Amino acid sequence: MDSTDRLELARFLGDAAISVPGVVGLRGGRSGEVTEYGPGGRVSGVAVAAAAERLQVTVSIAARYSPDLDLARLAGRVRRAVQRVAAERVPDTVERVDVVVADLVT
Amino acid sequence: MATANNVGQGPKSSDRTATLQSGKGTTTIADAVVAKIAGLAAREVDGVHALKAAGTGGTIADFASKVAGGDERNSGVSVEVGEREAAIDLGMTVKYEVDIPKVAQAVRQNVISRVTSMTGLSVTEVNIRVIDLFFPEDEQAAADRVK
Repeated sequence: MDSTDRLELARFLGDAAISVPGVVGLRGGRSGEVTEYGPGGRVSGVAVAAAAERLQVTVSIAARYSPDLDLARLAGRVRRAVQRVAAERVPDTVERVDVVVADLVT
Repeated sequence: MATANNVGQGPKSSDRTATLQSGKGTTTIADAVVAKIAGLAAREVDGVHALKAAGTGGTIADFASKVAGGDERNSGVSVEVGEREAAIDLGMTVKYEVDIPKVAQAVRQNVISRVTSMTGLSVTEVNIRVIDLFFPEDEQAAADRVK
């Protein structure tokens, strides 16, 4: 997978994460640790590592605060949404999706 | 336990911990998120006026955080988060007329309940430092002086 494909995939995966209710945004980290770079752009808050047709994805999100917040459950929803979109977009096996709750927005 | 499966190229910054295991990847909750939940929970309790870092060191830390663009809502809260547990220190000012031990106990309970339900971490301790009293008249007097 070259960097253009990776960047494009990262965009789709980032959109999948943001579409989960309770997620307000993606966070690339203070020094851009969780960011995918490619020609003409970057996607903050998503990192994709691909080797031997196996994908390892990290998404770093900001969650919205609410009194009934359950971050483990939210992370599970994000993980499943990302897995679903990855399976639609690429033939690779999604080995793992690590979810980082990096920020909480009130 | 929790980080055993951590072979991915996850973020390696030291300020994230609280890694929960699941079959298909890990969930990591940043310290700042735990601190924010604890701070919000403390402020919900009636009688708490503000959260503030204690002592000169705390004042400097708050100032440094302000300069560095840190989140002011986390001032007065420091957390130590392990894989499954969190310890929380709070510095706060309380309103003058309140029963301080009761307010502190209510803060402790609310912090434990919120952090536990929202993050899944178990809270081993909540240390509270009441660093000052707040007199509502003072604020009024100050407001009057600058009219």
